[in-house]
Amino acid sequence: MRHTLTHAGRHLLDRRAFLQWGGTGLSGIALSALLHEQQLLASGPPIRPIIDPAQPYAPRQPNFAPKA
Amino acid sequence: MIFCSGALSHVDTFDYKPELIRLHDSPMPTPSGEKLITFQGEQGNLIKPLWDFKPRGESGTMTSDLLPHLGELADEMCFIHSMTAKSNTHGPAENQMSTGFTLDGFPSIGAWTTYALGSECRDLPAFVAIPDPRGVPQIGPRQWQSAFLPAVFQGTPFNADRPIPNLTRPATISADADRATRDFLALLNEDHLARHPGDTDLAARISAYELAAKMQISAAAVADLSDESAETLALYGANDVENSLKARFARNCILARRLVEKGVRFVQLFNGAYAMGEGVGNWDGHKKIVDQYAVHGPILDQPVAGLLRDLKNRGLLADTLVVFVTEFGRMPTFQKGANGRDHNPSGFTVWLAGAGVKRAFHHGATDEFGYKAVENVATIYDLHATILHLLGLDHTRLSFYNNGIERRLTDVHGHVIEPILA
Repeated sequence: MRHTLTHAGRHLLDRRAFLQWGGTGLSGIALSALLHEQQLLASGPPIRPIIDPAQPYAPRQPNFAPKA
Repeated sequence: MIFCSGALSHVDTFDYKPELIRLHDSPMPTPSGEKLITFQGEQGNLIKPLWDFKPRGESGTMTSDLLPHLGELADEMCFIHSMTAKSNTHGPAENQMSTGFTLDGFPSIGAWTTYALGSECRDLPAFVAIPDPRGVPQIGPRQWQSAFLPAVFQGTPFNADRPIPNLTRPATISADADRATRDFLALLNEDHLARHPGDTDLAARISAYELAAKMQISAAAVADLSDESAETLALYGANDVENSLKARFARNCILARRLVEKGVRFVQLFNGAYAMGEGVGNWDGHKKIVDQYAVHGPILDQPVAGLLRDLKNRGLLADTLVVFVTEFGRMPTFQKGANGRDHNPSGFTVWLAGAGVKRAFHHGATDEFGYKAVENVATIYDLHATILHLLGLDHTRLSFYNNGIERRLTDVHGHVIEPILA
């Protein structure tokens, strides 16, 4: 039998899973909002400098204006 | 970064405690009168600073007679008196101060810096570690390792006594033969590259070897101090004929300035070595602290003071950050039955000077004896976060993906110590 719904869609139509997801999903959103309010989350995505393998020592820009 | 190996006593150098003098030779009061047990065992009485403290500079900062030349520069320094370490054992604590983690296997702060910023210098290593003339600290090369960061970002160790090994051409090979060999190698490499177009690894490897060849010439030149003036040598104490260890450490300090001048991004300068035994060649004064520090003090003092003055006189201090650290502090008590101080990771002093930090500033404090940090308690994570901040780097975001984790120098900790920023 060919499903027309995605896996996530089928999951949502399952009553038990829907109720579970409603609970944990909302708590997840609430937790991340709380962590954000208290500034406990990382301030942004990771910064990984791009290294040119032919010139690994080439000067690279800092994340913001440096003092040193 | 100047690293004093063995744990420099803060109560005998930069952390002035009048109560320690007043209660000299009496037991340290503990909350419920229990015995005080530290790294090597039971503690004896409180012992006043082993060198007198005097007010220095316009700020009147109290520092001890053990390091009088550094004392004269107290107005340049930004002290953190409330530093704490996670380990009371040299190896893990050295790891933490240099890599952020007490465990082995993490990149040093110099490797993180060069990974992030590259180098302004085209023909010298981006990160240089200068071992003490007496040897290396307990964890040795792990102080300057790149661990899981690309290997090009590890520190290159050399000092004024011992330049980078194997750089000079053997006497049996003439300069012409050497050049001819190198040219022939370049020819073979070009040919090989032409047959493998678009191979970036190959191009990178060839460029790495070419960089190494350039370094053969410039690294030898930078470690040759013969063009330094007599005044400069005297400023650092590099001409001291009475104290050859001091003169040799002073030459390392001159080398540090020369590297900074050339645009080397990160220089780690070591004072003290581990292998000579407890406190013999380092600051680990458990049992004979007065005799041992009387030897180590003059080796450290004038050369580092000379470096700071020289950086200032040449205008380099404006955009160079100097950080003076050690793995942890020492107890305000003597060990029971011994004439020395045990390890104390609960409170000790580090200082910064130069770019972006306040001058003649004191942040945080230990209790009345110098035992535990009690005010504005700082961690090594905080220190690292602050150093990266001054270099223009966000410690919460500068990352390297390794083994399933976005790794950071500060792990998941650390706050920039805002009050010390100028």
